[in-house]
Amino acid sequence: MSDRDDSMASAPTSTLLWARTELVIYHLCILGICAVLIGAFVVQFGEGELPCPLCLIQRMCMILAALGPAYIIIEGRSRHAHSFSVMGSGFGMSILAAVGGMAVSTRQVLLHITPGDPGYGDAVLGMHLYTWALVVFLVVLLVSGLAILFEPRMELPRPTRMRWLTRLTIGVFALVIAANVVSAIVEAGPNLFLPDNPESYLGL
Amino acid sequence: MIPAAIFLLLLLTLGSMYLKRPWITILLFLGTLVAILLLFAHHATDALDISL
Repeated sequence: MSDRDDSMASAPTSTLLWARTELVIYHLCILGICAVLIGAFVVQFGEGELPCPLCLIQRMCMILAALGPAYIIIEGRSRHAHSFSVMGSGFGMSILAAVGGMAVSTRQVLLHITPGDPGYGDAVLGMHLYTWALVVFLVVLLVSGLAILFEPRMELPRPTRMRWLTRLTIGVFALVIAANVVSAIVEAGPNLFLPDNPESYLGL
Repeated sequence: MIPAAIFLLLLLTLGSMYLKRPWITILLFLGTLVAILLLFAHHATDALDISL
């Protein structure tokens, strides 16, 4: 048994309870981003609005941001200790992805910021999808910053598992990514890049 | 095809987490991030009709 397993076995109940609470929060972060991406699909197929290239890049950045908590959850199941902090790496991934995503969504907001510009697509709850994306990336930055602030050890006790919740979360996440693969193939068809203002599915 | 390839790369990065080799995941993550930023740069410069 490794030193880390010893520390896990001797960890106080409050520490384990906090570790499990953290784990639930990370699962909810992934499921929250999945809900946003499923909402984008509802707008795409329900209202017939095709995503533009920048919209697809924002979806990619959201998936990339959710890979951070997924990394913490999956590595948290392992009994092996690493030479670097798993939580540090996970939050680093989320922060990098959120900064990239913010650059893309800010650019799209600025493209349509002039008075009289109707924006790209219809507004949802008063804001366009790219503005909501900017809000999502800000929330990712905020949550990552707070998590780092309140986690001085930057390590979950090992192994920390929630099998059914992890299976469900990672399964839904993988399905959402796979659906985006299919959607991107159908939308772009044989072309390398999407047109700036897509009007039909080129792969159908 | 390139957006679909990047989504596929994201799926691959998620799958690589089960390999228990963190450096593979981190390399795939960074590669995907660079690919996304290059795609963004392509569309940004294309719209402005400039080249990098």
